[in-house]
Amino acid sequence: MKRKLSRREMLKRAAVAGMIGAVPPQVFAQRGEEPYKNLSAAEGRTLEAIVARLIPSDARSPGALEAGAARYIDRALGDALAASRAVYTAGLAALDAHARGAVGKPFADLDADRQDALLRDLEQNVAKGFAPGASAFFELVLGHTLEGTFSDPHYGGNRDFIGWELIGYPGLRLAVLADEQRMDAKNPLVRVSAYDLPMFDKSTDGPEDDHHGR
Amino acid sequence: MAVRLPRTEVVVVGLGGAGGVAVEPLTAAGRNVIGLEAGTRLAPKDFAPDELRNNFRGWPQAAQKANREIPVHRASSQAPDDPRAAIHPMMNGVGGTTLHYWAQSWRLSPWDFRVASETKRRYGAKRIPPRSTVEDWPFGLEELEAYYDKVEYALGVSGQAGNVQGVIDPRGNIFEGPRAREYPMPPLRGTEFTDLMGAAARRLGWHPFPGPAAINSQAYQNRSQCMYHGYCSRGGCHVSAKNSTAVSTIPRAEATGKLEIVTSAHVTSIDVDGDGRASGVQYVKDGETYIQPAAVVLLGCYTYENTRLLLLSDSKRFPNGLANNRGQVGKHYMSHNQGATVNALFPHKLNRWYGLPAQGVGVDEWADDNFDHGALDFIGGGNLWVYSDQRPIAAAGMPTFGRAPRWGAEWKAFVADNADRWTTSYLQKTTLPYAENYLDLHPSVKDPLGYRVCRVTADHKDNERRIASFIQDKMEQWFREAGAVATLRGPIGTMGVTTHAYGGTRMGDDPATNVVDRYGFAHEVPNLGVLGASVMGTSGARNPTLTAQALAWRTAEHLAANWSKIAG
Repeated sequence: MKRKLSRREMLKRAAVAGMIGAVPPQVFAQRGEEPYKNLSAAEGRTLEAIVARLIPSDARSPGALEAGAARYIDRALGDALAASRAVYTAGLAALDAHARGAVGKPFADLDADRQDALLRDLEQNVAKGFAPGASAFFELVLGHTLEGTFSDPHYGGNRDFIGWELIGYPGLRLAVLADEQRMDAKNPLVRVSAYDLPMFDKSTDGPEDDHHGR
Repeated sequence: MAVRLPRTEVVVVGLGGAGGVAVEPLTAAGRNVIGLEAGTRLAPKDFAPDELRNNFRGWPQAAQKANREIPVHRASSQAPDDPRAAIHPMMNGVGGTTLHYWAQSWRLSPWDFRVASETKRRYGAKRIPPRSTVEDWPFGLEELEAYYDKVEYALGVSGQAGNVQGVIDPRGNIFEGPRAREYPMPPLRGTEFTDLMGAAARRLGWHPFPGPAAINSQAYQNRSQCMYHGYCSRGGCHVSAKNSTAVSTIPRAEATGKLEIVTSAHVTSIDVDGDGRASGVQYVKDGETYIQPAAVVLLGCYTYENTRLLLLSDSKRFPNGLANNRGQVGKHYMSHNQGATVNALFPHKLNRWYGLPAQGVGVDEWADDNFDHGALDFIGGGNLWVYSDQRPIAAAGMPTFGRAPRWGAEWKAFVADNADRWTTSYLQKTTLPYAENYLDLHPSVKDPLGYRVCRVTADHKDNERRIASFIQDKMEQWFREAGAVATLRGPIGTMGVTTHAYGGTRMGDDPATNVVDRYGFAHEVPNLGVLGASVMGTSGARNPTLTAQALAWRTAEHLAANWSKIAG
């Protein structure tokens, strides 16, 4: 928790100083990170480059990479998104092959404009070598990037509430008053995870059965 | 070897919205009831405000029986199967989907009970769409009114009456049928945004009203009022202000000592005796098979599973499935025509971050037969509903109204400015039953126990498409009047697996075209009752749950009052 707060404070100061746009995304991503759990380091690097273009960091605010969207996806591929694990392996490899074929370098080594052009090839389903198709892989990654940027930080994304800050979500309130629903309400920001609240169970399994009693 | 349990009086299969209601009048009448529920018990600690888990990963369905038997949809008997949905739309659990539903608790309109005869009377028989199998219900709203009233008070429904004993109150829905008395609670509060929409509707000469919800607008039955926290859709209530059967009718039934609940019980068949009467059910729990004999069986699963369990329960006497010797099980299927929505972009913030889907404003001017269809090419209509409810992932996934790409720097700037300046609408529209739309068993897709899953064969017809287009026009008009700077119409889609599924065991007097009689008992199996929207013969233009609950109460009360005749 302490680390998160200090990072957030750092980001705030950087934003105030107009620094964010000047800091290469890798600097955020590489600082003190654990190795990827389900993706290989190379796959992780490609995925980081993708999410950094889908929701890019700019002068106004940090983006999906800084929010930890790639880390969110990596972690989820070991549980809730396990069914997509093979799709990522194949899709990330196909993207790199597409990049090498088009420009002679892996995707992560290209400049932002080139990366955007290649991602548009996927979105428009004109890139070859993807099964079932490039656009299906693109939509999968885009959806998971939104999850990893805007979901409850409990799942490893939305670090420092970057996603919630971006769209102006005021945060979790367990009780909301009428005035807090006014269109121009200036609700103080609440920056907690649902699971910081002691009343909620983190378990996603059902509770105990009733006994037969006979 | 199956374990044969002692005989009971009534076994209820499924303790959700319908079965969970039926147990109250039955136990109050002193009947011994065993409730078999495929899910477990959930409590407020399980209802974290977690959009990813609730709305994207489908918890808790993802880990439940329902999810192992997701129906397969195809648009027609010639069409290939669609890809199977990843998550079943409904959940198991004591309380079923009432634990996490939107809790909108409507009565049907008087027209919904008499679509066939009213259409003939007002416009001529030719106006009933070709191939539609629609029939009048065996009774009208006036018969069901007393049961709507009972469940509104038993569960707790908030709302503003529009018609009390024929006296119209313009604060409520002026088109609703007469009710005996006011709702037990005043409506949920509005928001500045829903008030803005209401004012726009009035400028158009329409009659907006706050909708009814099984959610406490004030403390009720010693449970809290609603906290408007924004995680109600597909989330259970952390203060039990959502009046699921798990916090209302079921606990009262259990308190009588007459209801025994068995959770994680996966019912695999309804058995019959030599006379063709239901003798009980078989279920699997923790890998063990049990036989539960009963004098009366009440089938209270969801629409898909009601049909499925009947079709799986074949026997010498019923070779095509239980109560299906006339081939009506699975017929007259409808899912709600609720695609074809309209989104709108406003030039100012709306603050929809908090609230709930039931906190909104409705318009019924264009629903049912509330307007003259003489010069139109369809019958029926739709309820327009706008509400305060949005969470972050969905907000970031907002449509961009042609003003930005779907990702990248421009997209990011667009959502930063507009994530709280857009809204959707909920447009529930009439769906009629057709000969081509039906449920049966899939020929090859099975659940892990080896039983075939339900197959849905259904698609929208011309009448439904015309309603959708007409209602989208009205919704766009309403949004523009309220100041929207852009509107966006969504596609109607197909009739895939859904939370609003009707038919398959239709109720009616004629056994040639209906599975259950006017009290909900099978024409072919007099001690087998069916609970849920699977008995409904028309969809209405509003959420089905309260109607399914009123019918369930009525079936249970009929059983209690005619016990020796039905139980034999």
